[in-house]
Amino acid sequence: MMETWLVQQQGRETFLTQEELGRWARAGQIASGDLVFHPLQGRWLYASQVDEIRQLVEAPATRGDMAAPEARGDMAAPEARALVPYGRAQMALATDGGPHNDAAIAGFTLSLLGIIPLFGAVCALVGLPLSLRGVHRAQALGGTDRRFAIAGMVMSLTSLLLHGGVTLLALLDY
Amino acid sequence: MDALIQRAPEDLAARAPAPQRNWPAVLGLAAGMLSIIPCFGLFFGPVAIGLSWLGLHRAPHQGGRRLAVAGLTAAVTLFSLHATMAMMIYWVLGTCPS
Repeated sequence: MMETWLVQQQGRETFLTQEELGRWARAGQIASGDLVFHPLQGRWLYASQVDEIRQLVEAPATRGDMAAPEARGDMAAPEARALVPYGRAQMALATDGGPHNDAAIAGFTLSLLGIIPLFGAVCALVGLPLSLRGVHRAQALGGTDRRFAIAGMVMSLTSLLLHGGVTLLALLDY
Repeated sequence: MDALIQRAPEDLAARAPAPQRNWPAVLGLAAGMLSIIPCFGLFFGPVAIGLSWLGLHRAPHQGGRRLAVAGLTAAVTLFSLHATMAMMIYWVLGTCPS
């Protein structure tokens, strides 16, 4: 299970995966004085105390030193725009900050629709190249939605084989 | 200072909200899948497309991008199927199949 990290900056909190946390730290969007909730240790630490990003954040000047996000250029970053003012009702999760593999999802969905008689063959024909593209894209993205892409490919091929077999049987019978 | 640091986490963790769900994406996928129903499913198509589109725009904040993309794909595909079937029936019968 993927741990969720919580970063507090200027009274605003953002949920991040470890990948996103590393990316933010590398981009200089986390200052050493920002508070980070460590999911394994179960407590808040300053960014400079978190082993996972200690090397990436700037050298700490003093404890509690919080540079303004605007001064660090945070607000210009796409991820930072996902930040919202703190509040239970208004808190948003920056859960989709990672890479997307829409081709894999679309291919998987179309392969599911391949179960429809006749028209399903068209869905499978469109779903198969999309799933293939999803597999290639998953390799480039480090495995994002790879399982969806493979499942879509298998189901599309199965659907095409079934449709082809039924058509062949119908033709032979005719 | 250390005491403050140690006390802050519990307060903030307790106040941490439950994750928001991208309901338009969820409903869009549901409506998209319901579009498979013959005849009546035609009406679910535009609803599913609208909801999934809304869900896609909310995805950067609330997640559920996969649901939105799946809903949009299903809705567009099935709506096309319904439209094709309606046109074919109209072409064969020469009248609106109502």
